[in-house]
Amino acid sequence: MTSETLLTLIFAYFALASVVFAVLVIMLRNPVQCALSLVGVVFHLAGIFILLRAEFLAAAHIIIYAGAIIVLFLFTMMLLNIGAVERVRQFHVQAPLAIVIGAILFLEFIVLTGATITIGAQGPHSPAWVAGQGGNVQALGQVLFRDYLLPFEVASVLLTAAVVGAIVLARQRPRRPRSSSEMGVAEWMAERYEKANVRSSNRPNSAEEIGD
Amino acid sequence: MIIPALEYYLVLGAALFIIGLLGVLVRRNLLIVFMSIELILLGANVTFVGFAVALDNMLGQAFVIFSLTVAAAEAAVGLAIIVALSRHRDTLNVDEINTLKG
Repeated sequence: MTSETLLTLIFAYFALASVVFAVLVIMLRNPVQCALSLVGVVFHLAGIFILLRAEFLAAAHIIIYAGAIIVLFLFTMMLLNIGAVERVRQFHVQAPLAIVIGAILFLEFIVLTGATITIGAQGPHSPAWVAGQGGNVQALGQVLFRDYLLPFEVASVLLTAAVVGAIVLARQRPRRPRSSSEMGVAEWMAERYEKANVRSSNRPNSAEEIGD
Repeated sequence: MIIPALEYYLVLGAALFIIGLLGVLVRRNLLIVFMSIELILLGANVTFVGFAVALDNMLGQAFVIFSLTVAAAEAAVGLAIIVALSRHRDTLNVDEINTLKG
């Protein structure tokens, strides 16, 4: 068996497994099982990336997706009451139409892929250049921090904005009084301030108030 | 040099994209709609890395880093919206969430 057929077989395994897990993500009933299937997709795609010699991205996918995003999904499910969600009908009435359109779109992708891909001039980062840099991680670092430093910094701004936005959105808002429209703003603020003081002064009870 | 041919990777990326798209269109649970969006982004990442390796250009791999950033930001903000929504309306069914004003 040549190494080429071996690599093709390995690719076939990773590709098939990731597609099967992806189908499970959208088919399973329990959202926790869906999240765990998403972990399966990410791990098999990491195998695909290693096959492509993009080792850093394989590790980054496992760390960010399996380690951060899916854990965030699981935490959200624990915060919510998912038992009630599971009992309702899971699929939309438009499902058959969506599947037909998706199949047509997929066939279109395949036709276009077979018809139009011609690899033109090779870029500057040949495997020899990558090896000269010391490997995939060093080469990616050279490109990222030399040529694309500004987009990288902008990405960090985006992450900061997302963190602030997530905290603001998910924060438990204090209950507004019923007649807040009639009440003056200063009066309302004073009442809020008073409530906050009361809550912080008797700390042992504050845990019960949060759980309402 | 890329083994197997680039087309295989593109078809894999397209398959993940379509599965994610179907998940968004078909499922009624908002959490699973968000997971399907993650699948769409993963399909795009496979396509990026495939082209990056086939064309010997590291920009494709650098761009996947930005794509991961966007995925993480989207998940954080989206799940915060889900938490706020379920506190407000007590449902995750996308058919029942049809008003902008609470």
